[in-house]
Amino acid sequence: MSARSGSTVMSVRSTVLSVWSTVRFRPRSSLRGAAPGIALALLLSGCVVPARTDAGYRTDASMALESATSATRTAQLALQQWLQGRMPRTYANIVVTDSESSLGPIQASFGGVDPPNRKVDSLRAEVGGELSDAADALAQGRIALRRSDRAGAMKAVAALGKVSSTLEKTGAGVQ
Amino acid sequence: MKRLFAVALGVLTAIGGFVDIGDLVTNAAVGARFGLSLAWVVVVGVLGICVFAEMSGRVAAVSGRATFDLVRERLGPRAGLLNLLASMAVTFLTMAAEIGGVALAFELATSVNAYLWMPVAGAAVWLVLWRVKFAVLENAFGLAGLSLVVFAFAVWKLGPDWGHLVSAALHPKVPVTEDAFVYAYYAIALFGAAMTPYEVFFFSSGGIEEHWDVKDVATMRANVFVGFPLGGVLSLAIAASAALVLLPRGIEVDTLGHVALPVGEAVGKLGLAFALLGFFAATFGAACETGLSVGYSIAQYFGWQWGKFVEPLRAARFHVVLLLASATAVAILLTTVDPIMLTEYSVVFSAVALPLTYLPILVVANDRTYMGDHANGVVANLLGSVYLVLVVLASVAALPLMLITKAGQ
Amino acid sequence: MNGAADLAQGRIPLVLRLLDHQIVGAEDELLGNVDDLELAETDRGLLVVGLLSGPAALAVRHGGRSGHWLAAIWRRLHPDHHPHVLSIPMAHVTALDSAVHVSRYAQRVLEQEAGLELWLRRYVVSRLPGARGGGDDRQHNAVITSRERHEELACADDAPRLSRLLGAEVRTRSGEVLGTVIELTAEAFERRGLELGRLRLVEVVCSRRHLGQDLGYTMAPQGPALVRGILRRWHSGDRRLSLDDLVHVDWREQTLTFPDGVTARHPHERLPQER
Repeated sequence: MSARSGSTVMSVRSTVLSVWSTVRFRPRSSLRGAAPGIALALLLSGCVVPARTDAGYRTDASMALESATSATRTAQLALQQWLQGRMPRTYANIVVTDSESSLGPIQASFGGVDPPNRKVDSLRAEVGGELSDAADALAQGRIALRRSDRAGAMKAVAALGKVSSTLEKTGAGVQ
Repeated sequence: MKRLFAVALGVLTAIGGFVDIGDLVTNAAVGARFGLSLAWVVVVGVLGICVFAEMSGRVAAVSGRATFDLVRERLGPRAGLLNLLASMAVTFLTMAAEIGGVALAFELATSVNAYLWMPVAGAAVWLVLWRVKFAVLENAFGLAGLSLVVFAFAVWKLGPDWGHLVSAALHPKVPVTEDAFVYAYYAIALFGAAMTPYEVFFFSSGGIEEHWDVKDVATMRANVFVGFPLGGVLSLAIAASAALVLLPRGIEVDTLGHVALPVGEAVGKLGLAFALLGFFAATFGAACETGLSVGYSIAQYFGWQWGKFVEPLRAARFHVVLLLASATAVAILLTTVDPIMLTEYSVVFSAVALPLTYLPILVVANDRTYMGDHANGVVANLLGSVYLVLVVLASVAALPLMLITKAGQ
Repeated sequence: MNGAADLAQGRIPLVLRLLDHQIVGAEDELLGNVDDLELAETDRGLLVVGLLSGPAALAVRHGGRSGHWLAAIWRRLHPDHHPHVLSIPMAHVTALDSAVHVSRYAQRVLEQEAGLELWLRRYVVSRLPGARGGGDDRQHNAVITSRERHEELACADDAPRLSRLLGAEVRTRSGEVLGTVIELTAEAFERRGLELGRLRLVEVVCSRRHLGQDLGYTMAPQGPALVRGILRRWHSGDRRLSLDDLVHVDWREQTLTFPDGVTARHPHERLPQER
């Protein structure tokens, strides 16, 4: 009897956990970011967007950079506010986690676009690298925040600031 | 004295009740992207909702008929049904977005995932619709919504260059980084967020719930012409705070968490607590209002007994509609649609659906057979006609702009 | 009721003032809408003899596929084999303002025949905790929960209805088409005490344009200049004819025939003696 009820509890818990994890790590799409449009295009075209013009590719790059900047700046601001005691950790946690999960679709959609020619290969590599730097910095911030690690959070703020500036600079140079 | 108290209470709840998830998200998103260059739309929208709500409230008080009663009467059953379907689709979408907003506010307060809060929020909304008296519902959430004043406080604390801010608002232009179509699209979204049709369904039916008659027209006008513009000031404060904190950092608003970031920056933890209370009250109150609006409108179209002024058993169809609406809204949210995206679409579709209910109200407010001396005067008709043109223009332009700009990208 | 005036004076535009209006009981209970009107052809002319309310009457107004479905669902869910549409006699209409007020008897009938409401009351809402109370105490009478038939009020399936006249073609004997019917006016001729009584149809308004026909501008210009101007232009071809001149109504074909050279004026044009 007790074994049975134990297993019921277990299975209920695992269901809840699986629901939890599905929803928690659902990529939250950015409203104006390129993500939803590109993601839809990806679905329709079998995951690879055919090569377009140079200018089109640069627009994609600049939109990805803009959205990524928004995510890193958001996380930076939230961490700063937490460090200064202006924001509860629960709130900062949600904001940072949402920022981090918004970066996934940005990376995926930009990475899925074929560069139209070899001239922009270097741009692809540069943007791709910066996006993964951003992802690293965001993860660093999220981890520090969940551990209430103030020193780690300060480092993450610095990393986020640096990666944000790089993203902004690249973004300004793309067009 | 009692009269004064009633007026004051009405004005306060009108201020707090003015803002809903659409206003929160759209104003913050626009502030973070366009600064105050779209502030004029908020002013136009707020005056519009004043004109529209005053007419429908006056018609309800004098003739005893609420909005969808009149829609059916003036459009006939077929066009009336199409109107009902369109208006209810938008209102229902808004209801889902509001319940999603409640869940997001809880997520921010507790760190527990919003999708776990959604069924709880939906059930709570239904419970309030089922059990709580109308006056309590209206006043409690309206007053709690006043805590959004913290946004105005935040703007003041941020100590902006006021001259610069005012001049940006008074000399609107499309920012160099933005396309004119995108600017126009967000203008319509802001207009739709300020002039959501459900506010009028709720306002006019609410007047009948509270047994308004001709004597109450003055009180109703005070609520509308003082309360709504002050509510509009809250909207502008949200936009201004985003323009001051988020715009310079290149932060885009795509979660509810973004909306209150400027408050944390300027005021700190206590400010955030107020903002969260305000989010909760605004979205929960609006979820109840949209839910009731769905019930009111469907019941009025068919002539069913509706309202919380009778015991639920006497209005069984109405209460079943409320129950189904709450359950379906939660079901839609649990498809893991993003409530913020739902909000963005709902405000634009609000602008599309607006003329459908605006025109019948404008017409009936002029019907001297019903309204007698309370029919529209020259000013009301002048404003009414100007807004008729605006509302039709916004409605016609909304969908093409949505397609051209890929929903504002 | 509120400030709305008594609308039963003079000529009542039926589409504007009666059709699709809310039916209310003695204490403002909401009982349904006027979904159609039952007519009768008598030697005094065409009379409005009853109010039809409910899904079956509404289905006819809708017409087309949605009407067909609504009627089919109603028949399927109705406990009777061959359900009839109920007609509330005009003698039970007590007043006409922004709503249609009916007698206590008519109120009971409408409440006892509201199948969906009663079913939901019985099987859904009464099972939820707190279904009673919560409202204000204006209504003391017991809540009706079971259905009662009122076959005495059944409307014959082939009884003429107002909806048959709306959209009917108005033509002269020689075949000239003047438009289709968008409005009819009627007068109360046997009103006494608390009852409005039957109404006699007096005039018909026909038009070639249907958009905006119900907005309330057909009989008299009102409202903001913008809307008035547009509708006046749009409906400039409307014609008002007296039913005294009517030669023949074909209910099946939905045509009204008038003599050649019949007086047909724009509805806003009033003759001196009509003022």
